[in-house]
Amino acid sequence: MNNPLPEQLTDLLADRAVQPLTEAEAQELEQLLARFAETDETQFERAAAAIHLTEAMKPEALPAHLKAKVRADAQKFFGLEEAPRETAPVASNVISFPTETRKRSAWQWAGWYAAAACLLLALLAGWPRVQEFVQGKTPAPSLAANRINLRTAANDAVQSNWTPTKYPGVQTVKGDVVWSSEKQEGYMRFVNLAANDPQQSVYQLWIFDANQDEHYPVDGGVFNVAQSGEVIVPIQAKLNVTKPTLFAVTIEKPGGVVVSKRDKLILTAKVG
Amino acid sequence: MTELSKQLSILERIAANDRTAVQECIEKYGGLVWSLARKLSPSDTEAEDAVQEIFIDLWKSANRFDAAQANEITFVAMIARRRLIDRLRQAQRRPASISLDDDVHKIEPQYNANVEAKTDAAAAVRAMQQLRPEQQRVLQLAIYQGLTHQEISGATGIPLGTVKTYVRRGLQQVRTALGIRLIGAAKEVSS
Repeated sequence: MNNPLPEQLTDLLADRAVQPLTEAEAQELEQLLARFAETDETQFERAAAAIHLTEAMKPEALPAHLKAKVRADAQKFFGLEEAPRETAPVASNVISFPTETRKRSAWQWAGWYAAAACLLLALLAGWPRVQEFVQGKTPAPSLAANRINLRTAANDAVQSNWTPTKYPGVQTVKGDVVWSSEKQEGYMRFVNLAANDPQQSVYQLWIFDANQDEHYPVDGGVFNVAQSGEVIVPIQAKLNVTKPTLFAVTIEKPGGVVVSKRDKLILTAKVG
Repeated sequence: MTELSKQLSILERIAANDRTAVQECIEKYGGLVWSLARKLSPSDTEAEDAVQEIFIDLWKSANRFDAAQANEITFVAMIARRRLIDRLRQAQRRPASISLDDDVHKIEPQYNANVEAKTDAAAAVRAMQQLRPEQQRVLQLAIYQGLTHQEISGATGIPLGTVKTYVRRGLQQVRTALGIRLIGAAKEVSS
């Protein structure tokens, strides 16, 4: 039978269109929607969107670097052309998108052969820990896509912004860390983190876990930054992390350390 | 341009596996999504993350878009706002800067009325113009700035209950102006 909807249902739908509901409200709404299954539950959200459009009809342009990220996400999401592997230290900063043709020209392939040759030379030259080397500027598409996928798909994913310490030269560093204990996977994103000379020092991540002695945080991996800009670095936790409370980055000697003196603590990201 | 792309909207083409529409989607709605994200995020870094999530939401939701129910741009804005509100809920954080002095816009179309006269936004403008000034203000604070009822009450001195009423009734009026069907026809599920 058709009935007028209870006022509480319309109120909750209207409230949801403009602000976050509390857990109790969300549960109540879910129960009411289950009872009134044919309710057009987006009606107020569409009304709010239409109102918002009155203000946003002359939008700003999407920044180029962000557009590149969204395109890379699209590649990953739709399973389009495979992105360059992030392990290649000479990976292109330009993310291609198959709008007109997906076939590479001979010149494009030549570029990839050159990149592969450079990588081989680097490996032969014993470039230390090349697999952890991260190119500056735009992050490799698959890392960016993996990061966004983790954040959106992992139910337990946590995200926290970096806070610079008083260590000299890091005050303009921004970015965040995303981690899923369920997947034991995570990514660090840095903007303006200075390039390091791997022969002199490396960056090292430490993960403080609620279930571990805080004096012995989990080693999250050593990494280098080739060029200041925006970089994404996969976390390589050496032990299982179950409930991270704090992520911290230190500067250490080449190769990293087992226990940090914490005298060169540069960034922290508190969870929760 | 194919016959298919002439007839279907961008989201409908994405749902129909027309991959060229994905690029068009980013080009056409990237600026809008970015603007909404900046407005309802505490920082540009957060806004950038939100934009990426919103586009993924859009692609996942493309097959739910119904041109008979809403303009495509309204649907895009709705998906964007839903994600942005959810992010606020998850982090319990508000946009960093809120200037009440700048919030109250004169309710008039801020777009090319000749081109957009038939859009949902135009209908929303007309409906908003029928509201009392204080009701317009409350609705704008809720939607443009993402303030909660409680925050609006604190900022304006209007009692909380009145704020809720203004927002709900304002949305109802706009909903009616958009021609969204009345919810009284909903069917209760027998238990």
